[in-house]
Amino acid sequence: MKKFLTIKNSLLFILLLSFGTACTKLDEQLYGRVTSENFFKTDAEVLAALAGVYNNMGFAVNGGNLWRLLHLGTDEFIMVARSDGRWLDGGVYIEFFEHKWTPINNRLGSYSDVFRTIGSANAVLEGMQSSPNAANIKAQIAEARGIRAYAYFYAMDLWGNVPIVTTARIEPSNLPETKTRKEVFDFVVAELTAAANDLPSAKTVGPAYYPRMTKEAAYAILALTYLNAEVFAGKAYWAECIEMCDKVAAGGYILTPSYIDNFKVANEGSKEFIYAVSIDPTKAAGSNNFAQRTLHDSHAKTYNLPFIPQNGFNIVEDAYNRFEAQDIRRSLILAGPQFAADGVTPLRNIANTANLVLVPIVNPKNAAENEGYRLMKWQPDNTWVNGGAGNDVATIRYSEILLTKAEAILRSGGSAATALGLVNQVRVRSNATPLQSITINDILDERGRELMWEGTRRRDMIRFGTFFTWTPFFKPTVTPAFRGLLPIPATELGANPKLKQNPGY
Amino acid sequence: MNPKLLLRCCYASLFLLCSLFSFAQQKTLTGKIIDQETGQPLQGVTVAVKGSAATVVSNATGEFSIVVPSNDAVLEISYVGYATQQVRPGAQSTITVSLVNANKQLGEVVVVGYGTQRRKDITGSVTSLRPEDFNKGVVLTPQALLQGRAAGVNVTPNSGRPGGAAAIRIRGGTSISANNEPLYVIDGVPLTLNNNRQTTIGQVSLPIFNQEGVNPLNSINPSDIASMEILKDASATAIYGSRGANGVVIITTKKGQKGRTSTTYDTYVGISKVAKKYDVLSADAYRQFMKDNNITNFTDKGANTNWQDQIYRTAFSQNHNLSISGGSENTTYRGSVGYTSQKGIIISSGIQNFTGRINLNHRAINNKLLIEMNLSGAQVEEDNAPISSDQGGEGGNMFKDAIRFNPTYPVYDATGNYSQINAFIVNPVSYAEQIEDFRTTRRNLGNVSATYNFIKPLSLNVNLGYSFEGQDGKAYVPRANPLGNSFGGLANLQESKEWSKILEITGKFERQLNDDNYINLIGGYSYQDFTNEGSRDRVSNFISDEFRYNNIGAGATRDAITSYKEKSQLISFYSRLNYNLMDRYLLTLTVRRDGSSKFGLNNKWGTFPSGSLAWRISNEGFFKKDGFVNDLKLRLSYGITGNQEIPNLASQATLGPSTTNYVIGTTPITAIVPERYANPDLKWEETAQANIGIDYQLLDNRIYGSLDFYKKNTTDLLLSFAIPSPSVVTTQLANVGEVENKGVEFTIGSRIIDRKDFGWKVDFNIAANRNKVLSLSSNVWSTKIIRNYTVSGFGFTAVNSQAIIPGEPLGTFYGPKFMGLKDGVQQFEDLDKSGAFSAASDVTIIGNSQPDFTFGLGNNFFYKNIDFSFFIRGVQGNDVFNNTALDAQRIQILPGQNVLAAALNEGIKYGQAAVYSSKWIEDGSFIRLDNLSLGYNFNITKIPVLKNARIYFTGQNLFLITRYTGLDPEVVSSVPGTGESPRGIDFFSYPRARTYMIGASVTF
Repeated sequence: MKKFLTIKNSLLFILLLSFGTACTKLDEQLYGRVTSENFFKTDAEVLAALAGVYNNMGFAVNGGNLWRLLHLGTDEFIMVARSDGRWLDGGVYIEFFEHKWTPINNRLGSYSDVFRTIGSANAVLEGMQSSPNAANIKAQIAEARGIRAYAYFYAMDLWGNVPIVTTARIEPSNLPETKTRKEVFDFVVAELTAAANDLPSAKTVGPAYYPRMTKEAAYAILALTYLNAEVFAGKAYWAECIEMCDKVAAGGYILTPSYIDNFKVANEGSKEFIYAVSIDPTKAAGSNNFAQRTLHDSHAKTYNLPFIPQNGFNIVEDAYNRFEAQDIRRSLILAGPQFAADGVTPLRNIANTANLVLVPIVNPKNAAENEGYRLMKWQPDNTWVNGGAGNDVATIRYSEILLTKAEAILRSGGSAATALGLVNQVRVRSNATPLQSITINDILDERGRELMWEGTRRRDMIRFGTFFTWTPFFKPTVTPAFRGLLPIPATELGANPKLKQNPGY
Repeated sequence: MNPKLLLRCCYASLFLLCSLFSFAQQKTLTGKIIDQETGQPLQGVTVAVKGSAATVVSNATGEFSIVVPSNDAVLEISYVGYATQQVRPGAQSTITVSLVNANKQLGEVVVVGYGTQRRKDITGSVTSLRPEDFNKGVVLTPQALLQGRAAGVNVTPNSGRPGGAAAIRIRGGTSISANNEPLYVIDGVPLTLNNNRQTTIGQVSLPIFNQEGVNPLNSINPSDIASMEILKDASATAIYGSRGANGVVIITTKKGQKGRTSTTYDTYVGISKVAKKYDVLSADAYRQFMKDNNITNFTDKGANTNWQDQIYRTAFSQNHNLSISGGSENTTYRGSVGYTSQKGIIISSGIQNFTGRINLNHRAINNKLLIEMNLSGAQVEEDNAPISSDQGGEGGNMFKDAIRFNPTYPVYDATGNYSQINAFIVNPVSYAEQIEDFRTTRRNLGNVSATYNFIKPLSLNVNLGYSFEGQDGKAYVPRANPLGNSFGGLANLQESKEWSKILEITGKFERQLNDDNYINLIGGYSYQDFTNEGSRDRVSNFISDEFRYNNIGAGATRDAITSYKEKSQLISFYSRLNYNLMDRYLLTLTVRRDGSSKFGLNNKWGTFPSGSLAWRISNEGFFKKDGFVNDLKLRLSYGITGNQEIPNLASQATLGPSTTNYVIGTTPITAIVPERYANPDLKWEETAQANIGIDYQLLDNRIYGSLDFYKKNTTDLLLSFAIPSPSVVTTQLANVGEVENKGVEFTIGSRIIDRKDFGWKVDFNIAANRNKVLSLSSNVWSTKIIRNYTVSGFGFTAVNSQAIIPGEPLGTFYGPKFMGLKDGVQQFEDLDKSGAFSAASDVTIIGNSQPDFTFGLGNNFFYKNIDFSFFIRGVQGNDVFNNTALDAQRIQILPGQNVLAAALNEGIKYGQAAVYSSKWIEDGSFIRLDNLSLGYNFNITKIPVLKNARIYFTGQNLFLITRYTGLDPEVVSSVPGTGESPRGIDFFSYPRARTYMIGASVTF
């Protein structure tokens, strides 16, 4: 009994002690997380924050929903519902190839991918600008502004009328409102111009800087903004476009001797890349999933893949038919009979009942496994990580700037010979027959050949009007003009009542 | 005077008698021992003469005979489960002793938070269950014990997986984003049950793994439980303040009984078989279909394999429990060890539970000090079959592939390897034999409580408790399997730990002031903290399958290496007053003030008051006690409780590393990104509940029960809001919205036949709850509809099956309305009259997963030594989304995948895509014979060391009456990670078993 007494006493003593120290303290401990007050102190910390912003730009290249929006409904990309049930996904892709998308199509949700980039740039900018170190990180601040403007370029391109926000936090009591596409255009131009002043030139940075934003990248985005200014702002800016193309060229870019070099696994630092997104799944840094998405299941044998591809992304045969047979760029398209790695043994279909022959799309709402040509542009990687490859993806290559300059010259009544020379530079590299003369439509076709699946087709077809007038069998009528802009997704309108839906939706 | 009453009189005046007649003379005393309540003879009761070695045991008719040294001798009569009695027979030579069932004694006293109350004094709505009320059979978890037994308590097991988790909803769900599980309090220690779902490999394009959480209570051995109390209304739960909104389940474990050491050994063995299989196309039917439809591009490997038969088995389960209890005047103890092994009805699945418990009570300092100590430990080892009922899942898994694998394939090809198709559809047997998924859970729970009674009405209790749960997950997908091939073998190794410390100091003042006034006042302080931490390594690209999770360094690719730690604290002050006036008017007032570190800066503390009144009408003078109604109590209560199960750090603005790096130059840079905005206003969800009820006893207590009506309004619902773009943070938790639950609960029980050698007792409960979302808006945030729970299966990415809509209940199915077939093409209603059907916009309410009512019916019979019981449970009026059929009952996936045979009768033309619609919403009403048990108690009078010996046979899930076309309408599909699991969605859940078992129990 004595023993229990002492235990009790010591117990009580311990209790009272803990009672005293922990009575009403309720602070939450962060354990392994930081707050913006104690971050942004060193260059490495600033870079880590910027890395998050750059990372978000992956939306433009990763084959995800926003990348798909940049290509769906065009003559170079189609996602069909397979008869085995794959890729139907509630019919959302059917709406796109039929040009009948509605604000509740859930693929439009990638609106938030673009705006997350803007939001993260805003957050990082606020952190950097309020840092005591702000004066020493002007270039980094310019980088964040540059990426933000680039993201706004995509928002302007796809949705047009969107809110312009430069603060980090969105208050529900003070929600941002829709600005016109023209206002967004002016904002993008102003921001890129300002950022270009503080950004380093491609000539001065070494390979360790790749793929961060350079002065020339800002100029290139400006060139593309001016190229589409009639669509974006209702006014032509051809001279400015040409000026920007020239400023880019001064950065020392070249066309790589081989087109395909730009799409290899080790394409980092290609002298043709003006803006690119780095990808390396072995470093847990993104994943290039084009092969996985486009290839047929049986192609696993062709490329010795350690995974089964998804039979999802296709090109429309129009895009294939644009090429001359000897064009190197056509060799990246998979069409007709398919073969194993030896190039001789025919591949069998999924059920092993027949040889696999890829045919054009016949029934896009219920397509057989072998319908649709494929694009195997980014070259196979041998170190697949869960089906992903490590090829970086450029969003702006120098060849696009050449074609952009040619178009601006032609459209502004400049020298057709100069324009022809620029276009033929691009053609000759890929073993295409040089053109003898040039019309504006040749430029659209050349862009289609050169830049297939590189994020520019929708914008180009809208600028040329073919987005509306093109009438394949699965979209037999002309598309109304309002579809040149995507609808603001219903979820965004629900979250922010101050947003205005685009006309027509 | 009837003889029974005479006996009672004899018993009551025993003490009187023995003082009158006292002869110092040895004699033989004979007697009989009966149960005080039922009058049944008790067999195996120990009768000992105090201070001597003489001990006998009563026989099958309860009779005994013992030699006593003198008329002063004191007999000590003890029997397990009954209160020990001391009797002085005095000069009598024949006595009858009625023993009081210890459980019945408990029945009189109900465990409520921070104390106990007499059943008749309860003013709130509380259901008490004792072991005899529990469900019988192979039961691994306490939740399963009470399934169907308590009105308004809806227990839905997620699946038939051995030891699987179950969703408990007390009076409907109150929350959309936070937890809807009740608070569990075990021997006074509130447990942290965040229903931890250890996320598995599933998250990387390999959703084959079981995503169901560990059942947090399966570390408590059901045979150690003395009682379970379910606190339902606010009056009862407000003492748990911010954790009381979903109700409280108080589990009290068995304590030792004073008296001679008693040892009990229980065991059972059982066999289980799958209760129902899917009817899929046989190989012949598969070939015939191809022939009929002129399909030639399919593979026929010539075999006839029934893949379901390949993965099912007759599963064996066994259980052994050994407990020892006893004690002296001052110290009692009970210790137990248990082992249960249950093999799954699917090969390569099963669970083993090892449990141990020691409960000690000690009284000291003239009974002024009571020290109670409860210690328990458990280890639960799961071998999980790769079966995932994930919502949104489109990949295969073992069970799904057993349905859809080509039936013309043999299990093994000519070379003895598994015949395989591709990584999407994998040989089901190879899943079982090649893929490993083990999970071990260890839980320790202990508390020491000291109560000191200073002076008569005043006492102080200090309770110190600690709980720990650790989980280790180990999984490996080998290169040899098509699934692991793409990864070069994939190993996942993870551990998570949670522990909680609690200190509670409670003062109590209890006094019968005079004949008419009784007061019981408690007040206390509580500190509890909860820590979680864990880590995970997932690596792939192994050179050989030999390394696996045992040597993850051998994997060349490190896919995910993460760790985390979180901690929260809850500090509370609480008080309760019980006042009883003239045994007619009863008042309970409760208040708790809770502060939680999880709450935002502006709302750190919340106050949760409740009050209730009861009127014992039957104690009024005007009430005729000898009438039809002999006991009647009216109860009224109102109170406010909370739900604080919000994530840690949800109110704080923090930066953290992104899971993806960004390569600059050649260096991968860790991206540090903002995780969320600060929300200093974040707080608990608040539930205001009113309850009115009556408790009644009729016809001389032969019929008893209660009737309750309640209405609960939950406000400040935690909703995750989409923050308008552009925001780096896409969602924010905010307190918005309102949900209402109202309902009625009715219980009635009767001892229909109550004779010495024959009894029949019936208990019935029925409850109806109506749930409705009232609002999803506040002055800051607003939304009209939240679509959730994506449809699972191929081709349904981002198609949602349910929606939360103001005016409708939670769990409302939302989608296109099926109008029938036209030329083999499915027709849907063009709701927006746009002229064409769109799966995106032509959607409406197509079902409700909440039942109209639920009921349970128990029957207990005994005839002499034989007892028999069965329990029937039913749910009516709920809808179930047969996602399994949507995915597998479509001919267009032929020949690539096999289909449910019913697909042939659908009439849908070949080549038509599947569409989620009302066609797949089915009536999920059912009536189930949950368990049936037949037992025999041996006549053990000839074996003096035995106190009790019993054998029994039990069958579980013996029949199911339902119109539902799937395997079983009682399903909860699982959600990877955290979040509320959707009810009423059936997607290849682990099938339920039918179980037969035989068991025995001996006490000596």
